[in-house]
Amino acid sequence: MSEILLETHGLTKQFGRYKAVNRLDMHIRRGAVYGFIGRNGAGKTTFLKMICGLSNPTAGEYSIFGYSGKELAQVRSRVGCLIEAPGIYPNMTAKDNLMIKAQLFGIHDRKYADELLDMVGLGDVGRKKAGHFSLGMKQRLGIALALVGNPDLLVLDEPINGLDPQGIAEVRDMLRALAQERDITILISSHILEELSKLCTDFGIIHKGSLIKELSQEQLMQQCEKRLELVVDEPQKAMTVLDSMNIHDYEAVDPTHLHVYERLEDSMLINRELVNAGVLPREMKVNQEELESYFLNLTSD
Amino acid sequence: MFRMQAFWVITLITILMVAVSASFLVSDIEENTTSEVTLVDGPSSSQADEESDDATSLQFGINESSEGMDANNLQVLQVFMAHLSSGMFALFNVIFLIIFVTADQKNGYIKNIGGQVKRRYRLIVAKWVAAAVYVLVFDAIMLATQVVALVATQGYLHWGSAQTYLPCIGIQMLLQYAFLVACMTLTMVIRSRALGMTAGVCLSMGMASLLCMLINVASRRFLHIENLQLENYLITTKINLIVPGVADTQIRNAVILAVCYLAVMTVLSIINVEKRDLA
Repeated sequence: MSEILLETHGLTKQFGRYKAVNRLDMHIRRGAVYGFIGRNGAGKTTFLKMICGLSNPTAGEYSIFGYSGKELAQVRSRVGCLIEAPGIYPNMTAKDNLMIKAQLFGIHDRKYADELLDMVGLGDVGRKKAGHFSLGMKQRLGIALALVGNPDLLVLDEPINGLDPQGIAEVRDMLRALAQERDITILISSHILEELSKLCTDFGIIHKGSLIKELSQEQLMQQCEKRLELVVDEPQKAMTVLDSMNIHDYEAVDPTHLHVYERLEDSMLINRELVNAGVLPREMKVNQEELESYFLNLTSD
Repeated sequence: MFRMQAFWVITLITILMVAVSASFLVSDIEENTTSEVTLVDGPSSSQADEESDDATSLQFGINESSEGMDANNLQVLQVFMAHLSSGMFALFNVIFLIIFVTADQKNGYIKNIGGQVKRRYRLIVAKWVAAAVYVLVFDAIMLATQVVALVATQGYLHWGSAQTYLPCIGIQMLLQYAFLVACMTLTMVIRSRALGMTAGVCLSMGMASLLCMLINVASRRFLHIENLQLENYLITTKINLIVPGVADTQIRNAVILAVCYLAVMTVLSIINVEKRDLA
């Protein structure tokens, strides 16, 4: 089992009577790219601010690299973050913005900033002031700032906001490379499940401050995979029939629903065998849930 | 800090004012008037009748006195000290430092570093050190400007007695720094650049003296407390009192007051940054 790098227990953030984050339990494996998905106002940014040490939890606790409470101060420098809009000094160049933070980490070589800028696709901005950057360029600079200090955990709050499709693809490739080549664990939030599904290995879905689902990439794909959906009164008997037909890739999602993931082209044959065995399907259809629909159904009130 | 546009704008404006004041200094002395900017006329605490609540006049603002200056022997250190005492430097410094101290919150840069420092109090220490460097550099620039302005307008350069003026200048700079730290703390606690700057400007122009006077009058009338004199505990009051020849007790009290202000404001700032959310 992979080591758990970030773990939260009952993490809560309350503003007056309003709970922006409500008893959230999250588990992130070392080396994972964890997609944190939720609608606007679900509590993603509030949660990430707590993880990054910018905001104090109202209740609950969390641990990073096995450290919690006051011991977290020892590992804070190993967490890089981009929260909301990138924080930059508009009258300074991109390199100067990076060097301010780099010097906090004892890095004084300006080539370090050049390498980071090349990594995020800002290698040719020269002396242009950061305040004159486009939204996408500022976002890239924010990612570069998060990478200063070579963090082991990267927390990115909607980093693809404002990027064009090419930029999104470049950032996705960059993050994938960081995770694979540098063994950086990445926690990335977004409200666009489609984009995250191409990158992330694990997912957490937040709604109204609570984590309603945590699942792996495989589980998510399975949820959205094309399948034959059966509604039967005797699922046990139905499963016996499927086994006899050498169909083993199925699951009982609840006491009356079966999802079958193989031999979908033989739906008529399956129907006939079930009827012959005395199992009358009340409903039978081939269905594929879009990621977006899956997400919307999960977060519907 | 020195890359901020505000630094250069404020410094250039102050250089201009120092240069202009140098060119009018001789005429001011010869006319035996004080160059003064008075914003409000009202009751004066120094002339208040203790037997009644009727007061005569109140002045606050940037008040630069040429008293004691010799028109034929203008001394750099004496003129520089007059600028310090007037509060003009403090006024411009407070404007810049409030912009500076709120810059990382305003532009969001605090999010890049605030969560990664081991202890948040280091952010305060860094700001205090930067403010001290700024005050030193600013005052050095103004001193240099003063030198150039006096040479250009008078044709000679007399420094004045270092033994007489440098201790006073040093203490005034310490008091000025303590005042600026207090204004920065207030701004960080209330988290409003506009309110902080308004308060800083008003305080540097002596508004606190007015408030103290009102409290003194109220305490005398309603609580029968005589001689409260809260204005004695104001930094701006002490800055005005530090002149060559002042008693050692005054100097000691001024230094103690400055240190107390620095200590209290530092503790307040640290508590504020440690306990509150950064972003």
